[in-house]
Amino acid sequence: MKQPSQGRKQPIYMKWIAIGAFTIVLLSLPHLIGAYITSIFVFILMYSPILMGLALLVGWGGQFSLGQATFFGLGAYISTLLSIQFGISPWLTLVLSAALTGGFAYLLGRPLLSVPGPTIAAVTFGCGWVFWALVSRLEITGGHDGISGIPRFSIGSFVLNQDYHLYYLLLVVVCIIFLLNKNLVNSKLGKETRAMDTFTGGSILAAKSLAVDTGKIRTQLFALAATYAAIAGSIYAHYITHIHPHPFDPWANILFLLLVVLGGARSLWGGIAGAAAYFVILEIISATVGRIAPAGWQFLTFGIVVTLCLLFLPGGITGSLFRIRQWWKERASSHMK
Amino acid sequence: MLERILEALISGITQGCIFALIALGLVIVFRVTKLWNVLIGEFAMLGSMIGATLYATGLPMFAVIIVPIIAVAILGAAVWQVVFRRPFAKTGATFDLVQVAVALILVSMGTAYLIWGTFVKDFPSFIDFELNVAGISIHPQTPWIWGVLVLGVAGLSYLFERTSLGRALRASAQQPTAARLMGINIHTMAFYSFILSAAIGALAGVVLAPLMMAHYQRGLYLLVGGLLAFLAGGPTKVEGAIGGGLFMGLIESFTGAFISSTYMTVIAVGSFIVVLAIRPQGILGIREEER
Repeated sequence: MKQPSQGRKQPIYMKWIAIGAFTIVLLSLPHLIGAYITSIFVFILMYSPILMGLALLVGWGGQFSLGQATFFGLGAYISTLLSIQFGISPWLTLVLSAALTGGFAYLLGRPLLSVPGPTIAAVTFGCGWVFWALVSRLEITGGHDGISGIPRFSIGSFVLNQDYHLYYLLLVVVCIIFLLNKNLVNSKLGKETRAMDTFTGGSILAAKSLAVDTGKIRTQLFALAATYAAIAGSIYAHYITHIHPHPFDPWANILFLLLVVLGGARSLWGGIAGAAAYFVILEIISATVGRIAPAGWQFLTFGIVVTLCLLFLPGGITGSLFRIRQWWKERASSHMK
Repeated sequence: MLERILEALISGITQGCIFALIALGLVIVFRVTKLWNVLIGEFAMLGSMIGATLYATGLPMFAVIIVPIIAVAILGAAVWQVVFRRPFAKTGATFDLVQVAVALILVSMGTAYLIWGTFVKDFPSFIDFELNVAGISIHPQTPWIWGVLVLGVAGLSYLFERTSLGRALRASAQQPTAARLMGINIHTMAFYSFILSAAIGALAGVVLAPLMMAHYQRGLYLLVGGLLAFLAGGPTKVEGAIGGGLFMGLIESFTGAFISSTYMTVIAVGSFIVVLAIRPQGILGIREEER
């Protein structure tokens, strides 16, 4: 049985053809589908970095946070305020807000991520509550009405004001983050996370005995997740050009964690799958029962879907797809004999 | 000045008692199963919602208080049996199970939203009377909240320290294997602790409803306060829950009274983070290594 697998004797160029075809489809997508579906794709790509960051912390760091929407909001508000109050270019505020949010997350996480138990989840949820309350009350953030008239991204005199402009921008951002995550998982840090992961046969105690500073690694992943969320938040603010506290409320904090679980935290594709699943389910809800009390139906649907997924589909969507592929390969190789 | 201090003190203790009650429910489940029962806020919300509905139908006051507690305890039992029993028996306490509980928060919120809508529901004080101490008017529900906490703590201490069921509950938390060898069914113990926690949550919800009203999102707020109290005090100790609750409540009310009401939650959460940075195991907690 220990033969090199015969089932997948594909030549190496097949992989590149597949990647090339995939790229062409992605690049031409906004011109093939309508404007409405393009805007949904923009939102899927916008939410992907948020969930991809959190997936690193959940899947590789073995901790979970309930503050991802807060960092999303922090990025959006910092970027907005910097660009409106000081007239800084949105590109620069994107970088600044990401750096500030990441630094804040590092300082917050350092004392709390060495503690056993999901303390960081409780604290980030508390911080999220505070952030939401502050933003809804302070004068500088415009209270419940929020801030409007946020400048758009522009290159020279070319303003990114169409959905498909943002689609291409976000495609680049998501690709960069995906490659970054891929490298990270294979780097020294990624190997250290595997030493503390019970799923791969390690444990916290084992990692500590190998002089791995588990708290520090988790803090780095946590700060990275916050940075990704802030990047998404900044792009969100300069795309919608109007922000208010509602998308960053405590329920969004819970939602992002559940979406990561739904997409599959142990996969690099998990964040993207979670974001896609979110908007697909949202569309289904609004097309069927969501005419009355849409928020109530959203709470109920996501709660039930994720509960069932946690109990019966470990690994979420990507984990299940992976298992189906394994099963298919095994079947194919057993047919060959 | 003295009046303002006294006023802040009383409202802080009341707020602290509410957090402490919620934290108590968290401690019970944590001591027995090492799980974080984050559903406790929802149990409180459902308790106050059911109570407010019963009050609107004109039932007598004691039924309005008792029926929600029994109903939520039964609901808690059902939730444990249907959702948590099998995975808990298989893997014990894991983050996945806490995440299941987080997902169930949304199920409960959604259901409450669809049944009761988004409006705030009235809930009367248990006994309506004017209460004045040294020139400060106190909400008539205040003595009830303090009393329920004292009774709850006394009852739980009695249960945990003096009865054989309490010994079994403690044993299954401390040494699961040894407890099993002594003929204690640790899954039954986990089940009991979950029901108890649901009942305490509902009790907290009913008692504080006259003060805070019933609303479908109230559970999240209570959960945050209760969780922070539970962590600040030290997650394994009943005294920790009380200490943590009072600490959070007093800081909130004093900053609200003397510094700024906008920033009172900010300062409360901030001081909580400082506490955890200095003592990660909580004020009264005992340090445990992660495995």
